[in-house]
Amino acid sequence: MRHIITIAKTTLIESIRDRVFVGLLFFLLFLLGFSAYLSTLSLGDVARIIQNSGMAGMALICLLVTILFGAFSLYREEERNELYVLLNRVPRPAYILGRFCGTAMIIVIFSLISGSALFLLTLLFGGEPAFGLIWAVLWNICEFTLLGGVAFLFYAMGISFTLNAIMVIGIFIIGHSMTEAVESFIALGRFGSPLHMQSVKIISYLMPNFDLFDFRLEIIHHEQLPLDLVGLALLYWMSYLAALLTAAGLCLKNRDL
Amino acid sequence: MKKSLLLTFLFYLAAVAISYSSQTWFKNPLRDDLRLEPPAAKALEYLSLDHRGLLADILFIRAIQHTGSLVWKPLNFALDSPWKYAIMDRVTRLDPRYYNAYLFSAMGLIQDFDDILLARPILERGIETFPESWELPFWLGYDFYLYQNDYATAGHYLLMAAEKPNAPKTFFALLLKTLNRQGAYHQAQILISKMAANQPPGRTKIVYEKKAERLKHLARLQDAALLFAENEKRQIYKLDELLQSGLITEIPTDPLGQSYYWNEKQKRVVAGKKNITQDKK
Repeated sequence: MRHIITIAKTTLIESIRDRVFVGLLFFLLFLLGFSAYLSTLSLGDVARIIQNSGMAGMALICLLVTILFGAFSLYREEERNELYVLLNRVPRPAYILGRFCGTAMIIVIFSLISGSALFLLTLLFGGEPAFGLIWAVLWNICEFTLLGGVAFLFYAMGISFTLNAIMVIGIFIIGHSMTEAVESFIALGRFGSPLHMQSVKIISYLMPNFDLFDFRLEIIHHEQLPLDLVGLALLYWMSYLAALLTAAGLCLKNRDL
Repeated sequence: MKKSLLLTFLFYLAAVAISYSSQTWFKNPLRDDLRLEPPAAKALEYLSLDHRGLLADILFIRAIQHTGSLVWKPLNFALDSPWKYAIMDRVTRLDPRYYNAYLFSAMGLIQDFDDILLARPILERGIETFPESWELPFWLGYDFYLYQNDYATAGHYLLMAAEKPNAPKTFFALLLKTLNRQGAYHQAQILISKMAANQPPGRTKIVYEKKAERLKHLARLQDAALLFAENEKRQIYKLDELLQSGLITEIPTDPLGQSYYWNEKQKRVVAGKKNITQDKK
């Protein structure tokens, strides 16, 4: 446990000191400014547009954070030959877990900064306090920590950084298209090949399903989030993440470094 | 080093100056805006990566810009109604609870007479999604009244709007006129009785009560005329025929001092001054 906390702290400090951190903060600022500008083009839907574009900006920033701070830092450590020294003293699963916790903290920091800035913008320009954004922050954290878990697994499997980044983006896109894909293939299953339909369904069960964390329309319409779905999504997040990190730990343990 | 920096700056300044001058001297011609056919709603859902609200907002802004730009563009730039309603269809499919999008489809977006026919399916989905809203059926009814002169459809939607909770009473007069024009006397009588009941005692209340009485008469005479047409397989020429056939016992007196007669053109009983030429017939 001590090792995990130390590595997590180091990851966090290392990331904050990185110039990319400041760069991403500026990029976030630009995205939020753009969302405020976009809202002026609407017909009285200022708060709605700020929230919608802000949530998209939050997701984009966290995707970059996952790739740059999550995956890239692991490869950098390997390149600098620091990893070998570290792994002689720390158990490999503890190293993966510590690194993951550090990255998760960065994701939490970025999500909280974006969420608070969005709240202020909505209040300032739209004139309404959007408390629903707390949910947006939570789902963003869930989504990108899960994606981070995927990146860590690919790293532990020995996949190169470029391929890892491409595959993470691919998983991000696939994870957001699961519901639509199954819906599209329903007709195929009914009128075409049931085998295709079943294959799509099986893939949708196996791949990370980010659609479960999608409550964006409910948030902008100030609707009550269905508690059963919220519980289900959190349970899914916990179990999938646990599986990813365990698999990553196992892969790294058996990898010949 | 300094020289190089200065040179870089000077070259950049020159490039900016050339760009500015070219845009000032050779002004871009005014062109029609780019309107790509929107993909199917399902494809857009894929593309949005679960940011359906944002995509709906962007498409909505495009429709607003297209409509708004025609305020200042010369007349040879026409409004693309099928395109703008295809966009609004996608907007409301991406975010089915986007109330303002439905409202805009029935208000700001209506520019041509037939636009309401394109807006109708979108608004009907809106009415289904927001069953408590009086505005959506009201605007649909209003547009059918104003642009299509289709009083039957207008009356249907205006009556739907009037029955919604929180519906203001201000448009009841329009509804009454629509119901009268389409000959829906029963519905008009119920409506004006409600209006009379909501009025404080006074002159207006008396007028409303008299109008309610007139509509009650018209409804009764109209029903009798329809029954006559069903029995005799022809329309009546005069209301006296209803008396002769025993369908009514008397022709009631109009409480507003006019008379009731059969209008051949409208094929219904109306109140007012009878046309002499029609009488000669």
